[in-house]
Amino acid sequence: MLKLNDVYFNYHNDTPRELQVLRGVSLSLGEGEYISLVGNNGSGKSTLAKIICGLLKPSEGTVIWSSEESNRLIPGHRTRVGLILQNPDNQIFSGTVEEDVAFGLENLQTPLVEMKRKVEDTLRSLHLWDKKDHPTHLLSGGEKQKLAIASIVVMEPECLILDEATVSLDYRSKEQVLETIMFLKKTKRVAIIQITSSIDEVISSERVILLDKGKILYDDQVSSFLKDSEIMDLIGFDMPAYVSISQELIGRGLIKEVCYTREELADRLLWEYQYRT
Amino acid sequence: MLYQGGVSRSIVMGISVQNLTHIYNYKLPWEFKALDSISFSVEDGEGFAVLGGAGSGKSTLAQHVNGLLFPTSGKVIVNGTTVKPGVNLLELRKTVGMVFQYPEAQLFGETVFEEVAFGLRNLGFSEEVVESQVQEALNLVGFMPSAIRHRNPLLLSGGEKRKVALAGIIAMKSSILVLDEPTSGLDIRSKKEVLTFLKEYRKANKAIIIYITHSLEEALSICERGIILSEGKQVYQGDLPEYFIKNEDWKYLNIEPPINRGIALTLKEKGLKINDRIITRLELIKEIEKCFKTIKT
Ligand SMILES: Nc1ncnc2c1ncn2[C@@H]1O[C@H](COP(=O)(O)OP(=O)(O)OP(=O)(O)O)[C@@H](O)[C@H]1O
Ligand SMILES: Nc1ncnc2c1ncn2[C@@H]1O[C@H](COP(=O)(O)OP(=O)(O)OP(=O)(O)O)[C@@H](O)[C@H]1O
Ligand SMILES: [Mg+2]
Ligand SMILES: [Mg+2]
Repeated sequence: MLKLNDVYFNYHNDTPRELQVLRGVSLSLGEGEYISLVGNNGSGKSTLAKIICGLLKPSEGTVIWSSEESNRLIPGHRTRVGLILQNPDNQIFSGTVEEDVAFGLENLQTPLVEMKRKVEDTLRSLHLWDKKDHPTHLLSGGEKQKLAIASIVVMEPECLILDEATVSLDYRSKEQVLETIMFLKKTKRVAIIQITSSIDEVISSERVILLDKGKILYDDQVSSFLKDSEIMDLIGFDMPAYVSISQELIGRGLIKEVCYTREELADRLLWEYQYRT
Repeated sequence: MLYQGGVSRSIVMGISVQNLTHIYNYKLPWEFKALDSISFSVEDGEGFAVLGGAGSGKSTLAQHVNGLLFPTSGKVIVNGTTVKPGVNLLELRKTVGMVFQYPEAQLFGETVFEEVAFGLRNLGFSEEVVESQVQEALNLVGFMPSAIRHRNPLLLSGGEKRKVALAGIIAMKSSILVLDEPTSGLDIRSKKEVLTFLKEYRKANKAIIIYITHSLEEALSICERGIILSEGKQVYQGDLPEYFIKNEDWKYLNIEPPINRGIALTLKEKGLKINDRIITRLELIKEIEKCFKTIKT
């Protein structure tokens, strides 16, 4: 669906190749894929996101959607990609919550009935429906963030990029966002790229891409990533609690295998317990 | 007030919030009660967490401590001075350093150096002191000062902006830090470094840290006590570990469950006879071991 070939980028034209923000990034993205993009501050993640959605143009290399080249910034191309930023103030308009979410669909001249239904479904799935008549500027930080997500999600872009879009959300809201995007992934084959530094979020995805000083240093399945302690260390990730607890329990001879979910840990412990009694 | 040798002197240091109610757009359309009779106090050297779901009133509460908002009713007293319109806000902002939920809201300097120096210059420090404190602060958040000082703060990456905002208050050496989700957007290493720094800073300066976060783990690592808000009301105020060990209503408050106790509860639900009144990982592992030791072989 999308292919990046040897992409270079810099914010200043005259920067030498080796000091650029992106230095030869190549990757491909298929329909319905769910990727975590990780890397240190300043490694180029947001820049890469903007390249993918056509907000920035590579200084070298190509970004190819299916067959066409977006290097020339095809007008209208942006609706293919929905980018959600960390700071919602950059993408929320004035008016009410409902108007904000309807805005994009209105521009696409979506039939009224369909538009109303989509807006309601999206607001309900993010638990914002009871705030639908609220002026957007009166929302709390997290509520605004959810609204920004709703306004993009409602457009059902082919590819959804969440640039640290859930960092300021509470626990439940994070769950609601995850459910909402997983639904889109399943029903519409929407590809998801989440930029994150949360191991729990990484675990809910399928593939990890690690960006380091503008280069891709790692690109593999999440299951392999979790077992690769060298790469986990490099970026500073701690194992999720269940994993490290299960490792400790193995050390104490209570269980025999590493567990990757809480349920798995509970089941395994229970099994061992019953086996021994 | 304490009377000493005939001189009346306020010795009430720290923060005291008394029956604080905040109504946005009071008596206007969209009137909204964001805080409802909140009371707590924080002493010098304490870390105090503010927990609660989206829209529960955390940022509203934070903004009362440095006079960005004033109570609709009730009182906020900082180091003996009641925060109200007309008080010496410059003095207050010198005492209280704040990092906003979104750092863009507080970055307006033309260069990173100007940005971090802003508060210090306002307080009338000499350029020499400004120079050295800015350097130190930039170092502390993990920057190479020479590489970053001339950059435009608004043209930095998300995490870099957050670090500049943090450096701004670190340079001020404020005795009260109000931090609204200060680690969001930081990479994993920087997050750990900032948390370590804050713990040391608090100890070394007997500083107060008001810490707003969605991460219970972060709250517990920085703070002993805290307040839990739900729809503007205070659900709990006091010792944090104790709350999460004794109660289970956190399940309904949109706050992150205490992970180790959560696991213990799952084990218990599945039928293991385990004591779930624990909070740390070590306690959990000990309880699991204890449970297995009861098996007679
Ligand atoms: N508008 C801009 N003008 C100039 N330089 C920029 C601009 N935006 C970002 N940069 C620089 O480009 C580099 C990569 O920035 P980018 O925002 O892509 O990083 P990131 O990986 O998203 O980091 P973070 O985790 O902090 O959000 C950084 O060194 C940053 O300072
Ligand atoms: N200027 C305003 N006018 C009216 N209502 C407001 C205003 N600002 C915030 N509110 C409302 O007050 C409530 C509390 O907002 P606040 O920003 O304090 O929440 P919060 O706990 O910080 O949430 P979050 O975790 O989402 O940042 C929210 O329901 C919000 O809609
Ligand atoms: Mg970024
Ligand atoms: Mg807030």
